[in-house]
Amino acid sequence: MELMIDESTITQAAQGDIASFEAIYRATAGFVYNVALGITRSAHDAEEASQNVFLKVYRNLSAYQPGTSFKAWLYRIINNESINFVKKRARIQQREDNSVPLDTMRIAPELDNVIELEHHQTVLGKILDSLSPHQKECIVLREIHGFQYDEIASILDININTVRSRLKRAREQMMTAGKQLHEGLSHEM
Amino acid sequence: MKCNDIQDLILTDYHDGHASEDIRKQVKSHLKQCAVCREFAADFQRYAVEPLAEHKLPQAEPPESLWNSIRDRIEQENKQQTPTGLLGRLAFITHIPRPAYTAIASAIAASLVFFMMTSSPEYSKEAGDYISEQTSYLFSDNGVQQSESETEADDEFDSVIEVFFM
Repeated sequence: MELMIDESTITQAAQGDIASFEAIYRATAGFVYNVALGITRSAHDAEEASQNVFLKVYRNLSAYQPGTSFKAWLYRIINNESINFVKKRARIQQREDNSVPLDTMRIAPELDNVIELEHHQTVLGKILDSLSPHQKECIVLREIHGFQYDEIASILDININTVRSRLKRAREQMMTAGKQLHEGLSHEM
Repeated sequence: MKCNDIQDLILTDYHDGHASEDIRKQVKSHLKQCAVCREFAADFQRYAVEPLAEHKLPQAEPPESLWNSIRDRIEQENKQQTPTGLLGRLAFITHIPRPAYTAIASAIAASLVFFMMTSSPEYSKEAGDYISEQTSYLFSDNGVQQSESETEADDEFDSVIEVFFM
């Protein structure tokens, strides 16, 4: 999904022009809200997180470097803000029930949320379980969000060749796991 | 290109649209001739591409009220930042950045404590007593004469320390 915003709109919004900022909001609200929803899995949290995201964007637009991917810049803010909500909720839950561990959140954790729970019992769930967290991040950003290599590199703050190599290894791993599962299922039948 | 190179490209740049037109042509041409790489490409699609193709982000519409809430908060923040009236316009004179408040408050508090302690006669008496007690202990209590010169005291520094700790 491409975000249709031109650089001049961003520049004007960075100078405090509210109409230009509304144009940015209109072009990106769906993306922001759905990424937040994918991570928080709560319409209420996603709405609050989105609100915080846009306020941060408004205050920090001057930090955005023209010519770089606005979508990648925005994604980092959405991800951090949504993870804060998930952590906050987990802390409240932990206080209520000490047995719930507070997981360390990573970037792009929505993979587990985007894919519904029942799928974890299926071939896809098992294939994805074979990936490392770093490999999952790259797969999510590429396959679910459609980010380009340079955008993934910017979001994860890694080298573009590292992105390429993580994707390669992730896909090799998915093929190996998929074949093994397929063979296992064939033997069972 | 060898089969390994073709398979690496299938796993990355060829699939993700980062390969040049020339590279794409080479991969296509290789796949036409090589059954092993064709099978590799089919497995790649089956296990690494198709299962994820069904799973995209949620496509929910953000609530109508979202933009109004954001605009209200921005306007509220802008109002707080914009000085109003004569006092507001003169606020820059008294404006001190927040981190400076702590430093200034600490400095004032420290000065007050120091002033109270040093100006208090009780403090002066207590401090005077303490110093004279320590001096007499160091220089007379353990056989070291107060009249000894500093040079002599330095020469016997080790023995003084030894005695002091005995």
